[in-house]
Amino acid sequence: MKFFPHFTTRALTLPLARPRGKYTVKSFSWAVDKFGPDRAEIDFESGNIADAMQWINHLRCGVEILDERGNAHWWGFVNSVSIQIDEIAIGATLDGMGNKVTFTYSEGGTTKALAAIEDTASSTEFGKREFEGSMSSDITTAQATQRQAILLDNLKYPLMSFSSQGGAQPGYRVSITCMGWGETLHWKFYSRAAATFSIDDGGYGDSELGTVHDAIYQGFVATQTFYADKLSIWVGGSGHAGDYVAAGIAAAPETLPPSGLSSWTLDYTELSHFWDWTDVALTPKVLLTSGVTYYVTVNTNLRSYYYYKIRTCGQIYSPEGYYRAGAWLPFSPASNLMFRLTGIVYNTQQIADSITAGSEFLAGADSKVAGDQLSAASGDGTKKIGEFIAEMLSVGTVNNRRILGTVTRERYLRLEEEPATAKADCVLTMDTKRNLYNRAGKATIECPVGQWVRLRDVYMPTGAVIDPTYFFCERADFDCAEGKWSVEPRSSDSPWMLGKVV
Amino acid sequence: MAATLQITDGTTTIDLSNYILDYVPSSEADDNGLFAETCRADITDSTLALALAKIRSIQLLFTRALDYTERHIGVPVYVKFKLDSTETLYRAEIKPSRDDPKANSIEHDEQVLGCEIPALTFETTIRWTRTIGEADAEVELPLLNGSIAEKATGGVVIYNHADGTAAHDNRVKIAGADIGGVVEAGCRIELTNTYNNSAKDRKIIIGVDAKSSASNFAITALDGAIATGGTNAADANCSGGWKTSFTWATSVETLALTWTLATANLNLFAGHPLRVFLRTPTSNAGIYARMRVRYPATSPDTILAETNEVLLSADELQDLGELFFPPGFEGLTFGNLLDSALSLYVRKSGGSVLTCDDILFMPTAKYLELKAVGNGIAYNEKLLIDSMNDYIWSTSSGTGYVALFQASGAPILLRPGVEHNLVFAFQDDANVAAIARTHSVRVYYRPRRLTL
Repeated sequence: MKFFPHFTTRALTLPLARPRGKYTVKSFSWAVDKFGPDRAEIDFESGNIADAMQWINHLRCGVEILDERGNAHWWGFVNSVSIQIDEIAIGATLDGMGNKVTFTYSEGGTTKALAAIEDTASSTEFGKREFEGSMSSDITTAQATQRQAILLDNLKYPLMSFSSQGGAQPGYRVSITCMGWGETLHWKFYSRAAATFSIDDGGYGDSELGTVHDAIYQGFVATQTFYADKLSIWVGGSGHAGDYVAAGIAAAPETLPPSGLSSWTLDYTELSHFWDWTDVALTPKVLLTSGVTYYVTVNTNLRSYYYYKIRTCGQIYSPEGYYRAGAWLPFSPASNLMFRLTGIVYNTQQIADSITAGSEFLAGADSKVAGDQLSAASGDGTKKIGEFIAEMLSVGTVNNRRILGTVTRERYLRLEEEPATAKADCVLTMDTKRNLYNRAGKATIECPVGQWVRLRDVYMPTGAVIDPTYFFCERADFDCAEGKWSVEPRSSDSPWMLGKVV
Repeated sequence: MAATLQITDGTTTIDLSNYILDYVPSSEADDNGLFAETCRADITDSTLALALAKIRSIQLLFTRALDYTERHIGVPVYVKFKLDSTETLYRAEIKPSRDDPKANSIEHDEQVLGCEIPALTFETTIRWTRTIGEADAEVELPLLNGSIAEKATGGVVIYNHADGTAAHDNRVKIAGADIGGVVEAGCRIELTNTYNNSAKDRKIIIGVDAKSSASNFAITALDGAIATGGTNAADANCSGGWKTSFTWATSVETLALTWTLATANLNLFAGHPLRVFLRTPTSNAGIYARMRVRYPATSPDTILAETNEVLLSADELQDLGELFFPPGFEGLTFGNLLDSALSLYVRKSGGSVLTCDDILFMPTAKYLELKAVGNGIAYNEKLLIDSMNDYIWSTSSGTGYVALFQASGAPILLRPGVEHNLVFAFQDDANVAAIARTHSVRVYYRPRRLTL
């Protein structure tokens, strides 16, 4: 099987008018922890130095490796090039580049941070790549600013390389090293807001529940997608045995608890005589979808001489209103019911959010995960997006299996639960010569990464706690000249390379 | 016997025909695919200076051959040979190496210059390393499809679809007997856009089937309207005049359309790896899709083969991946296969509507996908896909050329004595794959052989 590279422009829409010459795909690799396609090596050979040097201008262009029948086996971007001209090799790489620089320093014993500075000419061309500079010595803000500017100047464009090597051959040779798109998830830091929605600001007032209003609602539009698991309102006052206050979330303003999406009810013994935030869990959790209007509703059965006060604030959102004497009316003067919603988010949703918010090149996430887990929204800005996603994936599903994240050819991060151990039904088998076979027993060059592979030549005579005749493939490197994968099982160096005749 | 033996770069030609003492064409290539050959010749002329000039010209041609081999400076240098006048003249590029200068050299006997009556002849030994030989003159191959009664040269019309109308063919056939030589040969496919429309060719797919001297490859499309699962509607922009649509409302992968692959169909497919394309008159963007071959045809319960899931874009021509037929018997022309089902599965959060004109089958014995880096091939313009010289050119006038297209896939090479079916699909600069888009196809080649 022969392999051919196909390049696109940096805009990733049109084919690249690539230099003419001989292209040889040497190898490509996939790895679970690299979000699928990891690295590829392509050689370009030309008799023309101008054609060879053109490759300096093609960093960060898209690459796909296809076989002679049009099947795509690897995709990513040009990360570095090295051009051999007689006995020297010159090159350029995106490794270490930083076209947006933050800087932290210490001044008078206080840790400070400068606002990020960015070279937009570079980030427009190559994509935004953040660099975190710092200095532990005590310096002035002016010095820190100077240092930050120097860092940006030095790092804003691809970094140059130079080496001297023997064995010169006629012609000009370019070594093109490509990285999978997953690499770009390590280009930017990620932070996200907590999974909350609140109306608790804008001046305070109060409204009596029981003596003046029988019920109150407050509309709001969710600004992010999350599962609300706690609803807090500011309430306090005087009640009587048998009285209660109920609060909930509804899709319509006049749907009062316990109807609606979810609610809680507290009787008078559970309510304070003093005003305070009353935090109660919502069961079930309510999925709030970004952009959709919901309503917090509160009602009571208090008799007229007992009351609870609900705190309100200046009007920020509408609609809102109260129910009294058989009619719903707006507050006068206009004001909002104060409430706080906090919640949790499915891990796959958090991953999707991180890609939407921060990825330069991925179009989004495509989750096929069932049994996903909910957790508090995280992302405090100290981790790169890739690191954040890796942690989310490692949490796995309720089935105690990891989630695999794979960048597809269309640059979506596909999320799937790691397949279950299934000795008898492995997707792929491999003989001891490292020939790979599909279920039909036909030799294949299908990538084994993220799949269970069974060694078909090795017999396991008795049952044991572990069975080494099958393994989960964590990483694989394909040698195009040899036409075979070198595979790396989970939690292991690659034993399948041992004894290989090089 | 009047053998012809020349060394030439097209401008300077040294004709050794009359000087040959012995020349034995080599049939065995070295590890680099090159053939080392030796020719002994008595080079003579009316004066010693003129004879010597011939020798120097050969030395210069070897230098030029080295320049071209190493740095692509100048033009290639060829050795040309034919045994007699009944034979076709063949040529092979001379490929010198700096590591072994003697392998491409001319060695002559010592002449004592200044003699009163000098000899006018140099006894020489000429050595060269050459590539596989190819015919010196290009040959246009006759083509056949449903638009003509008999195979012909000069241009055959293809459509951007294949349906019940005989002339609406998206392929051309080359008879095995018409492809000479002993090894695979490069060719030049010339596609002239004959669709009188302002939209230009921007994406061109060429799939080649080459299996045997009389290929049984016959099916290039299955109409969506004959599938089960969809709702059919008339549409003049679809092949056969019909399209089908499938609506679903769940987020999980869902069976959309199923075609029955009867034994007769499977026998026609047998031994042919095929890329499956979905052609649609309406954007299916955002839908994930895959094909599966299932068994049995009625109430299938077993997946025999499947493609990887792909995300459909707004293109009217969508590559769904490759399937081998028959599944499980890859590469075998295995007959009398049991009926199976070819099914299209879809997935999109919350469901959607998928529209299908037909399913196209592109053979992948050789496969090439061409995309324009910009612009495209307008009406009456021509694209030349040349695997003999490794160029893809387009031209509007026939004299000026521009490299507008980039290819992915393997160069299209023709196998001697084997019937070839070249199947085409086109999409324009608005991602439209109009079924009425027509082209005129011509194919040229140079047969190749090992022994010159």
